[in-house]
Amino acid sequence: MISKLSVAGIAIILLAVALPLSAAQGVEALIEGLQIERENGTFVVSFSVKNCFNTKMEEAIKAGVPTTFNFFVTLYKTRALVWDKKIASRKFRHRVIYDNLKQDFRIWLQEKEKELRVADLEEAKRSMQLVERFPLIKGQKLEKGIYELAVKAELDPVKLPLRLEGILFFVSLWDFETDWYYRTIKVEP
Amino acid sequence: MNKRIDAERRKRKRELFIIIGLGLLVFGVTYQMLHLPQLSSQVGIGSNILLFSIININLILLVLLIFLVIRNLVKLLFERKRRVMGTRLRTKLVVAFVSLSLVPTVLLFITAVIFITRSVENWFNVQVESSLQGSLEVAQAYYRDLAKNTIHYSREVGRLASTERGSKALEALLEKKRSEYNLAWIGMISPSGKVVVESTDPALTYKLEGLPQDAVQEVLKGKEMSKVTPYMGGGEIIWGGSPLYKEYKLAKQKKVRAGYLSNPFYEDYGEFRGSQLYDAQGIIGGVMVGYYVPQNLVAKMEDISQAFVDYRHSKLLKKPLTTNYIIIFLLITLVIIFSATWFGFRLAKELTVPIMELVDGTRRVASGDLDFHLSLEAADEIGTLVSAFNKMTHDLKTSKVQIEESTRALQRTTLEREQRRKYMEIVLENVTAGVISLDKEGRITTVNKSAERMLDLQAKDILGENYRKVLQPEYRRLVRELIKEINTARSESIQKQMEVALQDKVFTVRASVNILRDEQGEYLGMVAVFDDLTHLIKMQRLSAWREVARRIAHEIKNPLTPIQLSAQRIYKRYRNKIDGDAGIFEECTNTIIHQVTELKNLVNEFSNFARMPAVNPTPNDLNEIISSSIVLFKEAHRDISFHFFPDPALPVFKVDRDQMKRVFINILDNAVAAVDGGGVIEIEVKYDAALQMVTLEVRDNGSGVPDEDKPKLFEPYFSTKKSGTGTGLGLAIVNAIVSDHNGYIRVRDNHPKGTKFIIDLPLRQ
Repeated sequence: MISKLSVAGIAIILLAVALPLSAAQGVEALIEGLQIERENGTFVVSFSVKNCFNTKMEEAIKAGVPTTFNFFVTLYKTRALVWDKKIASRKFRHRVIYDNLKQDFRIWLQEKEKELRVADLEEAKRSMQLVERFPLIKGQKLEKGIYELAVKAELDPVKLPLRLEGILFFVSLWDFETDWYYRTIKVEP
Repeated sequence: MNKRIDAERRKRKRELFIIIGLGLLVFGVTYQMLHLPQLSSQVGIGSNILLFSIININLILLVLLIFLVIRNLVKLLFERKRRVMGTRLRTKLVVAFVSLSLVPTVLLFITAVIFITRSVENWFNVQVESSLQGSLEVAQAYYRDLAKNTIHYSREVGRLASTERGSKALEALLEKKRSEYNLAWIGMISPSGKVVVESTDPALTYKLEGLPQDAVQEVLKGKEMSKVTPYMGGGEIIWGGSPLYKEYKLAKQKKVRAGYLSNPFYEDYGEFRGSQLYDAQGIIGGVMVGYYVPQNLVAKMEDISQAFVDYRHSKLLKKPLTTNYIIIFLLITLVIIFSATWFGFRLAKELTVPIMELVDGTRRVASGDLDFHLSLEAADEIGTLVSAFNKMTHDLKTSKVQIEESTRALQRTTLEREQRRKYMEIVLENVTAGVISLDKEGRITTVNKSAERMLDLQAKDILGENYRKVLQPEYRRLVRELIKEINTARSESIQKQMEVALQDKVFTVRASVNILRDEQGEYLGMVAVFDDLTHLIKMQRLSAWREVARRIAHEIKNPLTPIQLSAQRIYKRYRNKIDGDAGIFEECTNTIIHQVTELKNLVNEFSNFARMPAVNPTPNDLNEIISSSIVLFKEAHRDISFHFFPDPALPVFKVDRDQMKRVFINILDNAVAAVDGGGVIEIEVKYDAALQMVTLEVRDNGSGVPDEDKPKLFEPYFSTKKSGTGTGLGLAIVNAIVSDHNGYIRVRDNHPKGTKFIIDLPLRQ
């Protein structure tokens, strides 16, 4: 009797601890417009992330909190009998930081190795969530067959001043992480 | 038992180690948590991982503590429900601890929450924010003004340049204006983006790293632009640019191009022809100026900016920070409460477990388990109590063993004594002699069965009573005489034969009276032994009489026949010869003959008595024998009422029919003689199946038998009848026959009148 109660007690406690964390999650972020095209012999990937900004995050950005999105792009070759083979895997970042003195947003697009400075937040958001023509792999490297493109985006863990993110372990910080999105492509010789 | 105690002890030790370990861990973790935020600004991501690990461990520990407390609480509740011993005390202790810890902890928590909330509010008050905002706005205004100024300077330089001719003049203008405006750099740019004329501040240590091309392009497109770029030597350059037009007309009021820039340094505009900008707007180049902002100023403004950013960050985290602190405080509060609760449990357990063990031990000791030993080890008063309990149990056990040994010895002695007593009692009960003992006060202490039977009394009625009270005056006198005789003779014992008449019985007894003394010679009382000699004497007399009868018969019978024959011969020979006195002669001879015949009969009776034939018992119905005997008497004595009460339950048993018939005839003969012509004679048969004994009673309402005649009644030649009517052998023969049948005959007075003969006959010979 006691052991059953003990198990139930532990379960309740764990649930009580875990519930606020899970309840703090916002609207689910997702990837839209995932495309892969062959452009000048290179496969380029384009997509955009939706629902990745919320009010809190915007406030944080305006307050000067550097915000970074991590993008993961992976290409698998689909195989019938064994597991899929990873052909290419890339990770790049978009980073936005607000310059209070100059009153503009500086956006660093790692895949293009380019910094943008925009005065408008909406424009900054658009730049942050949009990935355009990211060159994934050269076409000649791919054999004939079916390939699967997987894409995911996530917010880089937020760094707070004085490492407060470590202390504020009970507080739900703005966060997002999309699922993996897939697109199948057929490569012809 | 010992195994269980060892296991319990091991478990407690293990729990203690776990508790100490957990306590140290929590302490260490908390210590690290308190100090890590200071380190975190210096160390890298590793510290964060450590921090998270610490937090997680802390959480796990807290969860573990909560689990332990809840488990104990649930256990306590269940035990209370089951009314387990000690739960009430445990509940009280736990409640006391929780209450004692809850009130100050909750108060402290509330205070801390209020304090933290107010402190955080103070950190983020409006004044701080507005001053930071103000500082930032100053810095922003500074940049903004500089940007505006640089654009204005570029525009002004463009306007002035339109009036100058030749490179030298332009260079001089630019140098003059650079110095005048305190600029770091002024230059004129061709439509292709090349710097055509420039002037640089010689005070700049490092050469400027090119123009911001994006800004230049925008300027050439007709926009007035400003841009900030870092300077290699530290600080920043604020760039401002404006386009140069083919014709430039200054109009102060209108922001329109109205003047001409008449080919200041281009020989030919032809290269612009076809250009959209040139065609549409007449842009022939641009002027760019750079203002150097020193490093210290930039740093200060950045500090202002960073301070504001930090403030905004912190403000953003105001609520979470407060919540976080409250949660931490709440956790600490919970830890204190749970720790207090757990400590309460612990203390309660430390108190209740020994108490429960003691209660259990007491119960077991009370139920007789003196081997019970408490193995609790404690240095406090509980330990003293436990050792006292163990000592008590040990002492009890030792005492019990001693008592048991004593009891066993006593039981053995008692048993032996009891066996001896029983043996003595059995002996006493089974001896034919009656035994009566008196204590030194004269109280009757022992009366055996024979004495009861002999004296016709019940032991229970007289035991413990003084003999003086119980005995009738004549016997009291007799006893007193005996005692007197003992005292006179100074002897320890005395024997005396005496006749005791008890109610309607007379016994011949030999009384032996002995003084009882203990081992020290102290007088304890006396014991009287009565031997019933009545039957013995009767049998001796019977035997003697038989011998006498036999001899008399032998001695008398022999001469009787010659006497009778002689008398008959004399009568025959001389009856005719005697004259005159013939009548006398005949009478005398007849008398002789008749008397001799009588004498013969008498002698025959004696002879018969002496030579009683051996008993020949055969199965017979005694009721029938009696009935047939009565018939004879009924016919002969019609004036006497005969009542016969047979017992139908009496079975047929072995009895000598002829002799038994003779018994009844003799007794009835006596009874008829006793009633003397009219009266009642009753014969009753009573069968006792349990004793296998038949009792016959022949009662008459005649004259009765005096007590002094009763002992002699069954002796030969004793008769109460008139002389000549009885031989005195009837009852002697009856007695002889009954004795031959292993029976017993006695005579008692019949109430209210007459005599009663009682014959006891056993069915089994």
